[in-house]
Amino acid sequence: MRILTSLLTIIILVAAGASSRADGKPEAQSPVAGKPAPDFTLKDLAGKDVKLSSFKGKVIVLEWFNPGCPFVKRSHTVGSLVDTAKRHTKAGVVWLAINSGAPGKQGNDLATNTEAVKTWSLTHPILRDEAGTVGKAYGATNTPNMFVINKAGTVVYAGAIDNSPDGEGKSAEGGTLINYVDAALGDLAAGRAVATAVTKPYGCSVKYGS
Amino acid sequence: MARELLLIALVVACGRDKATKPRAAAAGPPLASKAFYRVDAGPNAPCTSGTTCEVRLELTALGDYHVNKDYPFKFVGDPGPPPAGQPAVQIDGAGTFALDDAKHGIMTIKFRPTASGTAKLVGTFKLSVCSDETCEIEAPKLELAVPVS
Repeated sequence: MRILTSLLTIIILVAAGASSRADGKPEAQSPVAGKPAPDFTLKDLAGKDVKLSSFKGKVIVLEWFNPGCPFVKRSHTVGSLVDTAKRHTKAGVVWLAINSGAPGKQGNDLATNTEAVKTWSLTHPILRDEAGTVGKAYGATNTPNMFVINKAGTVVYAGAIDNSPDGEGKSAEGGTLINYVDAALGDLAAGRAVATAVTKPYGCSVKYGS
Repeated sequence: MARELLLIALVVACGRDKATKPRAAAAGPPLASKAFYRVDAGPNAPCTSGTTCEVRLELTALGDYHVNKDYPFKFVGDPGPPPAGQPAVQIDGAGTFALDDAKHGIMTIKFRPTASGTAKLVGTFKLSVCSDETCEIEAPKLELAVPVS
C-alpha cells in the first residue's frame, strides 16, 4: 500500500510539473528566449578572438555545431543548412557557428572542423567553446541548435533549424517544411515580431565535458 | 522502506536484463544489424489477400545505444514491381513507429496484398539510435516475405 501511495505521489508530481501543448507534446522551452543574448568571446579556428558584442546593432545567428554529428552533416549536405548562412550573410546578417564539444569528444578536433569548412564551403566563422560555458549560458542542447539575436541584442528565436527532425528536410511535421531561422529572419526584416520564438531542437546532444 | 528499495532495485535489474535483447522470439538472424542496432521481424497476424495486413519490425538498440525517440522513423517502400509470380503489394504510408522503452521500438507497416502466395515487401527502414557519445542514422534495405492466404 505504501509503495502504491509513493508511486501515485510521484505520478501526480510529474504530471503537475509537465507543461504540454494542445497536441500533447511538451512545450518547447529556452532559458534565453526573449532575454538579452549572453555576451562571449571565443576563438575561431585560426585562433582569432570573436566577441559577440562587437556585432552590436546587427542581426546575429548562432548555430551550435558538431561536424561529426550525422544530423549536422545531413543538414549541411541535403537539409536546411545548405547555403542558408551564405544567403543571409549576403543580406548583412552575422552568422557564427559554435562548437561546444569538449576535448576528446566527437567533432571537437581542429582538423575535423577545418575539413568541414572546406567540404561544406562554409564562409562563416566556427568558434570553439571547449569549456562549454557559452553553450550552457544559451541552454544549447543539440547540434544543430539555432539562436537568432535581433539588432537590440535580444534572443528572438531559439530552437531547431526546421520542422523535419531527420535533418534532411524530408519528414516535415505537418507536411510542409519550415526553416525556422529563415522565418525568424524574414519576420525581423519585415519589422514584425518573430512568430515562432521557441521550438524544440533535434539532433545530437552537445558533447559537453563534465 | 528497505523492502521498497529492494523491490525497486529488483525492477531496475530485471529491466536491464531485457534491455539488450530483442523482444520478439527471433529464431533466425536479424533482418539488418550493426554493432549498435538490430532489426528483427516481429510477430505478425495471418494475412488474407484483399485485406489490410500488418507486418512489424522490431528495432533494438545495442550496447550503450538507445532508440532516438525524436527521430521520424519511416519505412519507405520500394516502388518497383513485385518479382514474377508473387502477389503485388500496396504499402500504406511510411509506417507507424512506437517506442516500447529506451532500447526497443516497433515499426508497424500496413499493406494490402492483391493475391495469395508469398508477398514480398521491399523497402528502406530509416532509423536512428544514439549513445552519450554519438548518434547514428541508418537506412537498411529490408526484404520481408509474408505468407498471404
